[in-house]
Amino acid sequence: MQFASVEFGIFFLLVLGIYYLVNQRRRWMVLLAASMVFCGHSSPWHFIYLMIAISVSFFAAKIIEKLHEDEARELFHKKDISREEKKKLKNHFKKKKQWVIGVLLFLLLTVILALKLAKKLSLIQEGALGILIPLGISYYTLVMIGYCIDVYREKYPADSNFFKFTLTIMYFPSLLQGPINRVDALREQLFQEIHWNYFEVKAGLQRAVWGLFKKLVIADRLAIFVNQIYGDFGNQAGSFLAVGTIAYAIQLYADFSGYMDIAIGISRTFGVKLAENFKCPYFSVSISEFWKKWHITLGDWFKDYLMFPFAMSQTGRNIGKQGQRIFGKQGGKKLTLYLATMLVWFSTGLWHGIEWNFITWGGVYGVIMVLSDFLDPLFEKIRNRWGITKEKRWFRFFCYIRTFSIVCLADILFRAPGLREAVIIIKKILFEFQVSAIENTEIWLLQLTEQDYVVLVICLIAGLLVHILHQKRKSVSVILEQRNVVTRWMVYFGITWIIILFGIYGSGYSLEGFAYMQF
Amino acid sequence: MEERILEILGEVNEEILSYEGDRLTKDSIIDSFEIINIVSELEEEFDIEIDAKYVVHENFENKDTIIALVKRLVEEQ
Repeated sequence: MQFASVEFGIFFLLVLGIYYLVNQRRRWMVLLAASMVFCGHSSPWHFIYLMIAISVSFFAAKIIEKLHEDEARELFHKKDISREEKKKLKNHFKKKKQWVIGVLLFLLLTVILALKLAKKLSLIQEGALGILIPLGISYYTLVMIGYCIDVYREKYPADSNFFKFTLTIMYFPSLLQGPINRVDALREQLFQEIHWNYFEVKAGLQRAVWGLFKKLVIADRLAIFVNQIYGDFGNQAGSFLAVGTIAYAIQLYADFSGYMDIAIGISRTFGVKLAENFKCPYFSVSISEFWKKWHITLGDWFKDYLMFPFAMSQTGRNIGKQGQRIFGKQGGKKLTLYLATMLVWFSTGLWHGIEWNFITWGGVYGVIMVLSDFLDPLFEKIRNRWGITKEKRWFRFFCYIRTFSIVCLADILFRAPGLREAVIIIKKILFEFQVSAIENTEIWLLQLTEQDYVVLVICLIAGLLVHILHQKRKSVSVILEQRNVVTRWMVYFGITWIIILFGIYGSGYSLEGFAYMQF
Repeated sequence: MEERILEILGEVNEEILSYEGDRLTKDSIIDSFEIINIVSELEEEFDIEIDAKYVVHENFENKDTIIALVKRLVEEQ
């Protein structure tokens, strides 16, 4: 069920109505039923696979918890054993728990890799059985893995209610594209007492409508232009490829953050606050800052469940010790850090896809992050020598442009059909720019009309203004609330009519219409 | 012990010492590189092992929670 559809709109309003009509204690059941309908509607195979995966994760966590209890009991009964025997006993249980995690990882990740490989080799396609790669699989798999690791780390107890656990994984607002929830944070909210709060429901609906505006009016309109340019990249001048790339950067942001706005907005109407996934990422002074503001929950997941565990594992420490012999004390520590960074970034690339362009994309960002840290002392010396501080407005603006340019270059790897094509596009931009080609109005008006460009410019300016407000930590909901009722309703009607009149509902309107759903 | 911990934190990022809130990592005052650096320095200085399960926001909210974590691990180990 596509978020941006009349069908989903009716479904959501029905669920919202029933949710607030039923008894407090039963509200989570309404969300569970709705999530099952939402999931099953996309494909019955999707639903079946997800239930199997949820069952495996649920029982894996229960087994780990049982092992925790057995370990605690043994340690209690053997209080007088020596420190070495205690350590041996702990290691024995640690290995058993790690074995359970290992089996879980093997099962869940093998399925994803097998499906993506099969799709790449065109062994599976859409057909009568529906979409065979379950939508959202990359997202909820990480949620389940994170949950089991948290139980292993004794961060919180395993869930004892299978149906409540099913809801935390299958929660429909975040099922298909995230945010990648943390089970403890989500279940705290899903099963608490929720009271009807007019402001919260209104703010949630406002956010969802804003997301629809970003998706249907901006992202899908830009997609037409981007598809036109990238679809015929061999015949385009470098200048048009550059414009197409910038357009893609904006399209991707409007699309993905638009989905997040809808997901977070819808969830807010149920009284459940999901984690933010974007914080004005294009206002970033460095690539490091950019990745703290873009797809935040994915970055946090890889940091907590891959980077830190690797860096602090015996392997990571051994690498550090070896590195110290060659590069000195600081060099050794940096070596572990840099290897952990590269591991995370290659994994992030693989998470997006097993094609070479995604893996290269991840590798490129890994190298940028490593070099940024390695060269930071040198850059600081240069800045100090020239009296440049990060607080100077012109320098911050320069850094925003620099970061955006790097992101756009990397986006070519993301958007191009493959690695070879990405290299061709980058070469054309750098060595066959042909600035005069931009004057060719035929290309500009091949698919989009002049009216489309007017709509785009106005909407992008509106979007930019909202972003500047967010950058200054001002809430649009709160600002609207301070206006009189006539002004407020004029804004609501205005934006709704803009979506209805100028939304793109054409051929790109499909179940996988949101860009990040393909992962 | 506290003084030495504060020295280490200051060497990695001076802002940690003057930060008064409880969102050191969530407000990106320190990044992943600095967290791993801090962990590595503290482990070496106090001969402790800081498992990945301890590297969570709650233990890195500010300098006080970091100090509390180190004291706890020194006592346990």
